[in-house]
Amino acid sequence: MIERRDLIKLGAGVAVGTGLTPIPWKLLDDTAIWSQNWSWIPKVPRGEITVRNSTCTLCPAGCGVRAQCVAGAAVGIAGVGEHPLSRGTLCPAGFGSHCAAYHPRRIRQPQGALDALAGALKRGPMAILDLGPRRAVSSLYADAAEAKGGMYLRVANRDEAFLDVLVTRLGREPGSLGVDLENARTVISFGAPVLDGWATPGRVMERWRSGELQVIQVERRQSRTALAANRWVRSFEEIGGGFEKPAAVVGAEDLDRVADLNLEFGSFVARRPLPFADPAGRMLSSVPDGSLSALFIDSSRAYDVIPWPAIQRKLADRAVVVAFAYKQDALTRHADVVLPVAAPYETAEDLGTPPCSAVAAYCTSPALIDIPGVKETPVDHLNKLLGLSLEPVAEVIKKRVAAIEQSKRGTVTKLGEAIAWVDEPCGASFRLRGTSVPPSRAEARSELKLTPQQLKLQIHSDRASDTTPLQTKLDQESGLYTPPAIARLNPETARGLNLQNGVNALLETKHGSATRQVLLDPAVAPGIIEVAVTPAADDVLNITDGSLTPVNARRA
Amino acid sequence: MKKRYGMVIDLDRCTGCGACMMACAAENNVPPAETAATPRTGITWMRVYRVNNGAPYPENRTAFIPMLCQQCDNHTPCQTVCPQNAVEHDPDTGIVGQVPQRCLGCRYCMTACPYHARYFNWWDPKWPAGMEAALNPAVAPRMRGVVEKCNFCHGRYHAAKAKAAAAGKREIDPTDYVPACAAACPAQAITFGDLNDEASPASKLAKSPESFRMLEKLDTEGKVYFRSNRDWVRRIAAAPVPNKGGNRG
Repeated sequence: MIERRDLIKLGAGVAVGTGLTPIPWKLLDDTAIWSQNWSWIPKVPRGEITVRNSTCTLCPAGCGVRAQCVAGAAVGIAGVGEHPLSRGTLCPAGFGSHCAAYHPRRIRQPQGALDALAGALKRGPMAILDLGPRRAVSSLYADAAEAKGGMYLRVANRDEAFLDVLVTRLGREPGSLGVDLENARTVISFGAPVLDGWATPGRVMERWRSGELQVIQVERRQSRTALAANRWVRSFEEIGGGFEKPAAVVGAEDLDRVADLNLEFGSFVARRPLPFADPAGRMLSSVPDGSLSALFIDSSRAYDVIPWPAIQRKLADRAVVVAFAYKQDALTRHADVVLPVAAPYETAEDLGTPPCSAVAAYCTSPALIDIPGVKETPVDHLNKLLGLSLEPVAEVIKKRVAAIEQSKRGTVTKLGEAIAWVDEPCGASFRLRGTSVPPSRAEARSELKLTPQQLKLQIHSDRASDTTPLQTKLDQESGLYTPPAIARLNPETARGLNLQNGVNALLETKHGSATRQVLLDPAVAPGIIEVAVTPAADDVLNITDGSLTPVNARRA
Repeated sequence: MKKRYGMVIDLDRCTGCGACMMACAAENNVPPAETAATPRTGITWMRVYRVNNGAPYPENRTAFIPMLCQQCDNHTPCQTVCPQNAVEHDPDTGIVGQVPQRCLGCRYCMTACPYHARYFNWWDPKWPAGMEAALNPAVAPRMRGVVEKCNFCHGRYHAAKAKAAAAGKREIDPTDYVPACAAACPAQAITFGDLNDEASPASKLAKSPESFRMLEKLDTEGKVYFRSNRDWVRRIAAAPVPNKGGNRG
């Protein structure tokens, strides 16, 4: 007779015994494998693996890239050691550049209505603002502007701002000077991020890491370059004469001082113009306020950052702004119409002389992504909107390559389908031209100042924090870069302002105010507020002139 | 001869740019950050920590410490605790591998790892629309509920082995096998190689007196070495969690 107690015993025995057999572990294993193969887990691409060369067009540095491509799309990016400009070096954004086309904020359809454009074009002058100059498409912009009686506009490049001061002093053509880093023994940098993505990173990094180039950073802020430099000083006078010459003097701040020192001993050189049409354009700042009725902005390759208020000032009443962009950015949200264009590597592109290059240079950037997507260029849109028949960008690139070959200047390096050309030095150096060095300006320490943290990242910011989806690894998943929502203060400064770690503070500048979370950091100089600025924040925190802007802070 | 792959990272050369992190994520199909992801819940097989000497301004100094799986040789902590045998120490290479298909997601290994170099998939891996086309075909994406970590770019190792086999060689060419982070570093702060090969630059650097390992006192025999001439950096590098624990080494 089976009793109830026997059944309980049997059940308990089975339960215990099963635990001693492989059955539960097998079930767990199978469950694990089954649960790990859901249909929505992405599958990797399959197909023939090819290796192709191109040039990164996220910024104007002209760094060569070698891409592994599968089934018509780039799946991995590496530097190209034999590239004459970048010499194998890429910045963080460059390693994710092949993902830019898949940005979550990618624009694939036109946004906004074009009804008002025809009226705006009749009312007053039009202009095309090119934030990525020296490309083939740039010369087409100049042609379009000329055909319609408008203006081809540019803004200053931050890396070359100190050269612009020199150009003015010497009465030379804009863009005709470069920095002879290749022959320098020392770089004296006034706040320029020379070891953090400045100009073409490979030019500095290759010689710095081999010990051929010493970097002296003159900067109050503890930047990445200041920390890695061979010597970090807070004022030029601390250097004394203890550095090897020739020395290149570069800077992102104190530009007059940088110009003075360059005229005394700096390694700046003349560079020849490109051997094809490279329209200089007119600076946006020189356009009268309230004068433009229609403005086309190419923000798809925003090499030069400009805050919206600086653009807005130039617009007339009822002006229409049309932006060409591949993803939503700080300028597209102000535009009346946004037209989608190809992302980096989706169509053939090119790049003219990179900022601060000692010689003229040119690189082509063949497409690496052949899968269907947005392939329109801004020129396609301009032809439709303005009734023009501008030639395709690819044709202009072919003509530019032909012009280089005909000029018989410099050296052309063929890297697969891509080419990289560097001109020969033109021999004109200004090193011996001397002037006296004016005394340094006293630094105002009493007022709170806004320091554009990660200045280079900022210029890259549209590229680094927004351009490639993988950049979230740096911005969001690690504490490596300060998120835009943070303001760093020295504990002493915070005490004076009655701000505690973690509280929200209201920063007020002459352009407006913004809320930032306070992070106490003893690395920050007393009296300074460091914020990472993105173009999205430019409306209230105008950092594009590189100067320190007075700012007030109080608890929000 | 058996290999013992390792890495030497020069902390005095690291500029903290994060190129290694980007190259690692692209190489190993680590998805972009989930909207809610934080530094605590995100996945970065290679993570550059910002550490500070704690001194007041102007003596205050910051350094950057790239942290990845230390590939422990001795009583590999994560392997010892794994109930699923999901962690394997390859005797031929010394590389500590993770088998996600076996992982149950119990996260004992994360608790056991003294270097905080293991990451849990809190979400299904998700790439922006179309970005599947840009995934590395040599690395399978992982899934929600499993742990993952650096494996010295195993995909690159297998590619180098296949290349050597195709050429009829038993040994791979050292230049064919370089992890993505080492190849990407603009400052060339990362030297990778076979620590058993006395002629390899990595082996020579690892043996130099300036080189040290994280938490040497735990005797895990990691194969990732660090170098720095700055005493405070060496002290902090011995701390369990950079930037969190202070000078506890």
